[in-house]
Amino acid sequence: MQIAVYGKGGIGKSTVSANLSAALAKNGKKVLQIGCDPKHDSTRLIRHGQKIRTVLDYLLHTPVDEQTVQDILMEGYLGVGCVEAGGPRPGMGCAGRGILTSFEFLNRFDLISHYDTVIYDVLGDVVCGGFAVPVRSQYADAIFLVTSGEAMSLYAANNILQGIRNLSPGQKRIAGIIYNSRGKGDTPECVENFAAAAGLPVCVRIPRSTTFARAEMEAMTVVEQDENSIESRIFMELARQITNKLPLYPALPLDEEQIEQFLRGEAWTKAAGVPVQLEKTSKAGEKAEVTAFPSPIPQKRALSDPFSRIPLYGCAYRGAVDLAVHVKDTAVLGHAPKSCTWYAVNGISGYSRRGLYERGILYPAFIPQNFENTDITMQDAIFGGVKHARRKALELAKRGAKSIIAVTACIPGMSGDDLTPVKEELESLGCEMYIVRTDGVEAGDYNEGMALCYRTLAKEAVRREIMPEKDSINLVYEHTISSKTDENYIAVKKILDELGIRINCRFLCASSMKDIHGFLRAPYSVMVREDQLGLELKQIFETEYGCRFLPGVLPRGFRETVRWTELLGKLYKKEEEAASLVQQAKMDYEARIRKLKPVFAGKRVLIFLTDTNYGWLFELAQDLELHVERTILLGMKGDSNPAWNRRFSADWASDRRNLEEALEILKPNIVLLNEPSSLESVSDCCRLIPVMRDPGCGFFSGAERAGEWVRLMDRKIEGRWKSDKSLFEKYYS
Amino acid sequence: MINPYLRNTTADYITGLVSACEGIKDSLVLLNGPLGCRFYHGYASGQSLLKASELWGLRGELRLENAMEDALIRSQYFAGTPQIPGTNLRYEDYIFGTREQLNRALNDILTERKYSLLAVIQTPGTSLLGEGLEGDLDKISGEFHIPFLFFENPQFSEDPCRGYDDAMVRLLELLVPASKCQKKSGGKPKVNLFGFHTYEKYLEGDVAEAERLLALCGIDVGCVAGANCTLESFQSISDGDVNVVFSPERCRKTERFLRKHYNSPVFCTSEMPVGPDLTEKWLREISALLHTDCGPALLEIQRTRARMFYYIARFMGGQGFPGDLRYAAEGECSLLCGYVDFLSNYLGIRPVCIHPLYASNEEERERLTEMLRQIGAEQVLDFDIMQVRDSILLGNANTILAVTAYSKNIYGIETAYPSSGYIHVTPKTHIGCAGALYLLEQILNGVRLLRAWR
Repeated sequence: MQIAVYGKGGIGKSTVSANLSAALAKNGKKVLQIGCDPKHDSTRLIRHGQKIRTVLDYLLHTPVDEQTVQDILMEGYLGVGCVEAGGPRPGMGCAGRGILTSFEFLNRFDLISHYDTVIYDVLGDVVCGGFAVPVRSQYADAIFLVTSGEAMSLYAANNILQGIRNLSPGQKRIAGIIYNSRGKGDTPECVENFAAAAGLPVCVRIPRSTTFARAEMEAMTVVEQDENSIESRIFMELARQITNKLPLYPALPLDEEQIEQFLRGEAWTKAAGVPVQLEKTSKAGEKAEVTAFPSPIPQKRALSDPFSRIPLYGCAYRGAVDLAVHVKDTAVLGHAPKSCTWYAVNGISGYSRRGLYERGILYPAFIPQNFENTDITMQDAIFGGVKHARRKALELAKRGAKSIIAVTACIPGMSGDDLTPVKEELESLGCEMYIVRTDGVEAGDYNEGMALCYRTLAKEAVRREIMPEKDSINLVYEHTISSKTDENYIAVKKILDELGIRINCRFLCASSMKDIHGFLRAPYSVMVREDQLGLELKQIFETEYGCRFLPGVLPRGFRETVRWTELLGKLYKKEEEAASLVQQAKMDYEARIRKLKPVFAGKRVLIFLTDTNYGWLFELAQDLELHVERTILLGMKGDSNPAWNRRFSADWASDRRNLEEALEILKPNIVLLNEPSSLESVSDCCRLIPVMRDPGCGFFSGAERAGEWVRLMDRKIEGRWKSDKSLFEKYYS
Repeated sequence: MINPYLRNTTADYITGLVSACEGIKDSLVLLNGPLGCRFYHGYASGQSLLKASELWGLRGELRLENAMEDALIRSQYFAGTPQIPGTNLRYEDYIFGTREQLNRALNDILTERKYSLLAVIQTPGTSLLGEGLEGDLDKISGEFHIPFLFFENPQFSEDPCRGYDDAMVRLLELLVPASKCQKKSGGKPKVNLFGFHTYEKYLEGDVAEAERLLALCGIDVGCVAGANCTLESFQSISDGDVNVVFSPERCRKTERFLRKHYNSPVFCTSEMPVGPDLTEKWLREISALLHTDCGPALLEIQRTRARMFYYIARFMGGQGFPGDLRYAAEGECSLLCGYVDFLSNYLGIRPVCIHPLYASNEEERERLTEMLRQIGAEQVLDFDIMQVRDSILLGNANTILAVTAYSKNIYGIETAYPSSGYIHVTPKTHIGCAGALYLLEQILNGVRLLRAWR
């Protein structure tokens, strides 16, 4: 039989457990006592004060292939087997996980099967799942609650009942209450009334007695010290009850209001739910008529509300790491289990792998060469992983890292790892550390992780003492994973080079920590794109450092780029260079459009968009002399971008059916749409052209996209492969 | 600044668990954790398999009859990809527990779709909570009539071989009770294959080649565990005459379990049958064990040898491969033994670096060391792969990429996932006769390119 002894901290569980083990051993049972309290003193009395090595300490310091159960199993009084699970230092790590790990270790050696009776001495309250392990069905058959008549002790006992009910609803697993009297202020009525309310018997009452203190001083149980004492006989009686098959009861805790009423002295009956005065003579275990609590398991239901929780796409750890690796001269230290880093690295390097294969280009930023991970182990999770992270960080500094971005995953967050002391230590060694505390999913999804990394570096890494340099500019908030990033950079750099303006810092894309430190060197910055995070980032630079930004984002299409170039000329006092550049670009652009016009001019077009900011598309349509029959915008009226809406009207549609209807009525030659999956198919005389929101920046980006559309204007040949769908289903589905 | 090799580019324990459980056709492998933990598996799972679920996104006339409903595929658990869903946990679930959301996810998914097996895997975060969820899973399992496995401990930073091995043993315990062992008498001998998984680079081709060669020896293949076998096929494992274990690194516990619980002998392939010599050895030994005639298979190997001779002689001439040609390889020890035997002992190319991945035991390492010692190359064992220059490199695409970043004169041959993205329509393999020819083809072309790049 396996018995768990639960109760509030300091209530005497270990004393009760040890005496019970001794009494059972005296009755001829082969007993194993497992202490599940991190302070590991459960078996002290059985072992006459001799400490034993805890399971967790053993696991921490012994290679797996050298581990044996004999090393942590000690014998005490009458051959009682003694094991202490142990745990981390207070305030560190996760003690609950420690209990789980200890039990996994004991199971590996099937230790429990070698004993008649196993006593689990478990820490006070049910504070987390780890401490509830002994309550699980494969362990304790019977559970005793040790309590005094004090309010907090009863409150804890009720909490434990709640935990047991949650783990095994409806099952009869409670043996009853062991009333351990604390003397003054501790009245038996309280315990008896609580027991009656919870439908449990008070199995034994242990009086307050100096016998216990005397036995403890000699580091032995009262059972061993004086088997004829009253106290000893109580435990022998309890052992007898256990041996004679205990009746078991379901866990029926009082709810919050009821326990409050109870502790205030307003007793009540559960069945009626109405407070009444309990009779002092009520007997424990006789309250059979109690209302069963509803099962905590939700009722089965169909997929009625699939979006009841908005999915969190990715995790913040991954987002932060993906961004951090773009700081070229900086090491990234992931404080995470291997799983998190394996997923992250494969995501990051995926772009690079494809780049090499598809284009023969190596993208160094996507081969995370300065990415180190702590590979958190079970020990780190239990005892806290700061030491481990510190060692890794110091190794990085020793190898020459001048700056480190540390990103934390879920486990350090749960274990409470604080890397601030490591940061301070590194700083004294001349190595900066920026801690991006995503704590995995705590900070939110992938985008939140990116946001946190952006914010951290924007607030902490930019040096205020930098003097501005007049002909330079910062690019802020480039896409880090996009095939357009390089093209855009090249296009904008070409314009800036023509004007004699240097790019100071790309925040954060293929930049160095030195670039970030010197962010304030540039008198102006430009947002590459703008969304909520982009705006927030811009605000940080404006309010924290007084940075000035060019209006809008990098220009798309010819006209936007002309306006942008002219503005740059004005701001940097390079009007002549700008005018000359625009003049040359205009000639080139017109030549490109002249070549494209014969293909597109006069064609009737239907435009379907799921969001705004397509000014470049409408300007291009105008230049190509396309005849825009109708524009349908999916969304809410008022979302429009005035830059193009002043010149072109749009219908706001509620769903994709509006597109199908318009197609039927207008029969256009071309459908331009930004979400190709919006249409299954179109007729032979219509061409479907997908358009991207970001056509790239610069004078010619729109014309280049139109150049790509030319081939789509040819008649599409319908292959016969589609008719083989049934064969696929026959052989593979 | 940091040598990136092997720091973050080897898989984890959860990947091992997922790949073993996903190897049962139509199984539901659910990660009890935030969606971030399942995204990689959602995209990467079963790349080497031809799975209908990859086409569930098709609409209109091409929509598959058995496709997953849109509502489910777009639900919070799948978030757009139909494999390896997650319970979509938030950080607050780490505080208040995951039971309710797990129950909701399972009820929602299992009500909508029929699966053959349920495997729930705790992610590192949820494993710390220590929730006793077996009771809930037991109840759901009864309600939906589906066998289940619960993996409570994701073992944090352990390697995938252990995960695969642990999951395989749990699958056997659950689905193939020893008491059900019943051998059929008469007919062709039948073997089961172990050690394959759904992250295998050439899974389809490997299995097909193994089956083809065994068929030539008069041996049927019953179940190929871990390779999209049906539940029924897995449950009939105890009917096999011999259990053949590939990649023993992944099957240490599995091998012991098979020996202990079933009456069939276990044949352990300690050197993967790469190249004609090891393929011949492998087939002869299995045939001897089952008393079958491997003559037709040996004839096939002879034809393969003849074909290889032609191509080597034609393109490399009488001297064979250039004396200064080198190769490097990474992988599990059994696979490396196969590559060394073929590339060095058969083709006559010297190794420059042989790097065993994952936890290999002493015996496995010693076998590999001995093989290298015989060609006077024991010093290349564990040589820093990032130092390799001007060589053929057999490894995963991450390693090939990292090494290429340092040296342009590298010809990479992918042996494992992740891959560069090349789409293989024809099933390929590196084992058996077909594997020897394909590998030779890659090496010959690699030598040409390496020469041209100089």
